[in-house]
Amino acid sequence: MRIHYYLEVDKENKIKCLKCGRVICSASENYKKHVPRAEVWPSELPGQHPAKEDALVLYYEYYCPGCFTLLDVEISERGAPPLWDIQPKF
Amino acid sequence: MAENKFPSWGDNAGRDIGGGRIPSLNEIKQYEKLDPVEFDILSHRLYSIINEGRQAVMRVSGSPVVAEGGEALFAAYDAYGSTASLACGLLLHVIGTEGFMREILELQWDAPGVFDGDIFMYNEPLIGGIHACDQWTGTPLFHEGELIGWLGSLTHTAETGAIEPGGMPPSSRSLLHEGYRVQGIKIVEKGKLNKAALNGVLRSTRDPSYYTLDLRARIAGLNVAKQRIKQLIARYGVKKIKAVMQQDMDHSEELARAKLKSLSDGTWRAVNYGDWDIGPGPKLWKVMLTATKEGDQLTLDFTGSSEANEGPVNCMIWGTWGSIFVAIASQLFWEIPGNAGMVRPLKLIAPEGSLTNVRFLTPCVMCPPLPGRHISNVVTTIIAKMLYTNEKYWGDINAPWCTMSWMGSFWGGTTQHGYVSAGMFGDGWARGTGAGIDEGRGDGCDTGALQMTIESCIPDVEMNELMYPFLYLWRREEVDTAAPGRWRGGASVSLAVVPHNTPSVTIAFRGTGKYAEEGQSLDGAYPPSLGRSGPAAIVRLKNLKEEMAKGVKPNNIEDFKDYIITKGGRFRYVNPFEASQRVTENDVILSLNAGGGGTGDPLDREPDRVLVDVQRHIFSLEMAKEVFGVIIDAQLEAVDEKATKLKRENIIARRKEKGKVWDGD
Repeated sequence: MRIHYYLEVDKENKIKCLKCGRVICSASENYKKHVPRAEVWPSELPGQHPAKEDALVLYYEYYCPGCFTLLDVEISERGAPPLWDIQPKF
Repeated sequence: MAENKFPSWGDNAGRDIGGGRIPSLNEIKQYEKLDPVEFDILSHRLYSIINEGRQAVMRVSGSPVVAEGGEALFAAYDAYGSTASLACGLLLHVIGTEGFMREILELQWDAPGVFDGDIFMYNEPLIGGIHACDQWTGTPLFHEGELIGWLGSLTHTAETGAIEPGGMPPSSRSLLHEGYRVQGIKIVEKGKLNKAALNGVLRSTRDPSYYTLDLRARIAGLNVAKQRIKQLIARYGVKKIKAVMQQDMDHSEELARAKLKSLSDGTWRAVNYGDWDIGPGPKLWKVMLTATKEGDQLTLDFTGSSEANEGPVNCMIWGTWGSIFVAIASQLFWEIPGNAGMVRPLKLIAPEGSLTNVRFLTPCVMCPPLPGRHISNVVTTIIAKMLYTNEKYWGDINAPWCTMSWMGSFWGGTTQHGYVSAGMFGDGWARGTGAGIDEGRGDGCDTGALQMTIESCIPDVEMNELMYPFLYLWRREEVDTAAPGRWRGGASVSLAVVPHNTPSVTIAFRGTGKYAEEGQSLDGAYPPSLGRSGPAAIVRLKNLKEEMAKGVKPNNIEDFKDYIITKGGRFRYVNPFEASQRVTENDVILSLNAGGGGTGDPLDREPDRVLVDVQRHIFSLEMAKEVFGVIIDAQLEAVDEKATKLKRENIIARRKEKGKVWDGD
């Protein structure tokens, strides 16, 4: 079952990358705790964004550990744990 | 009035309300089902009637907000005020307006009574209608001594006699600062205008003419629709008209529950931030949503959202319901006829005292954009994620599309025609919509619409210049406002206006984006930005009027800089919220809007699509290179494939270097 643009839950109830097939974690867990994440300040991107010294929130980028596709850009307070945004029930 | 106490006379009793009898609630719910063909005919007929009513409102009103922008709602309700049919327009208000009829029935049934030809008026956010600008008039529908329903019309009237002009004062610290609030007075009694009641409003506003235009427009719409309903009853009989109202709601409920049931159960979460309350410095606040879908029910729990703000960035409960409805009606149940049945499968948890459910007298006049838009954003986000679980709906998935705006929105003063007025710039209705996830929906629509006013139109520049004491230096789709992703969001507008032919005018700012980003994307796309003309500002250009008379017309931020160097002037960057302040004919008000959200990793976007985006000024060369990893030649004619491959490999390598698995608890 698909749960995300790049993620699905396979027959063994594992969350898997649709692009590279990498198994990330059990479907009962927050996948974001099992993938690399990186801190990015909004001002690192082109366009009008808050300046680094002013920014109250930043971006956490989450990548597939297999193909390093960008899975999510979470706007968050610095140091906040990964948001459990997808919690399918089986 | 608590929702669960209505009707106070019980579900099994009717009552005499003056102009006739209202049957019991249970009686109206027991109806003889129409056969499918007749149901379809009558349901669509009712829908056509209320749309004709809405069109009448828009054609009669002279307000750019209503006539141009389409901020008008029209609905038919059953006898107890449940919405049976809703004209597409202001999605925000379907739920909120029902409280007005319930209070009329509770408070006015015996004195002064409810009669045929009465038209009631409300704009009380405690009871419904979101904020004081949203003004509702409704009329009962009687047939042979029985109340069979109501018709209601609502417009956004952009001047309410608040502590600042323009209807939405950033300096409000109490509901009492937000202008007149009318509590169900009969503006028309048994078909005759109540001039004393009308004066109660006209003498409370800076601009009685706009109020009168909007009021008369709403009355015109009600009259048109009422006439059509009478014709419908004459042709089909009242029993079928009463039945179609109930069947419409039951039908929508049935479809909504079936759709929910076809999605997997689960819990989804989303959060959206804002950055300003009352100043002088920024304040971070958030809307937090936990949505749980179980069977055919969806619970929307806003626990974890910030406490109420001190300023007007708050929602009363009807504002939160309305903002939810915006997302539900446009994203989840878009194919289901809009009415009260659609929300029956929903349960709302909004902690009292949070900014999603503020207490009485807490200021809330910014509710529709802030935090209402945040509420719509998080609901849109969780809907997108829910829809992935059934392949049938993949074509419906949409990234959030009502994102940041930082505008000098509200003006007040003396017009070029010599009268005192106030209003709102509606250019921000032309916002980029969110991206889909496949070729079918694909990229967001550029300057598509505002989600809350889904049938909105961008007001004509010439009409605004005719009605408002301002000239436009520009209004255009702004480069880099669209969110970059595999599928990009739609681009939005920036605008620059300058006061013109006015002895005195003020401008007030409202928005987000200086300290925290409100814009959201999905599944690997970056949030949208406010473009490349920002930050929002008042730019003083010395002797601008004289220079413009000579043909000088600054056309972008670089022109402003050159002008200031050569002729004098200064930038004054503004905060997200600034109270009304005097501006002159040498002051350019620069306003920004972010675009729609995108979907998927920008590195997955085909380089040729990025090339077209750059050629169309949707994205800059810098965005193409740094975010999409696409290298385009200086003539904007071709992609350098080799350099693009290398750049994309470099971006992946950087991700590998920077990315670390979270090691907290």
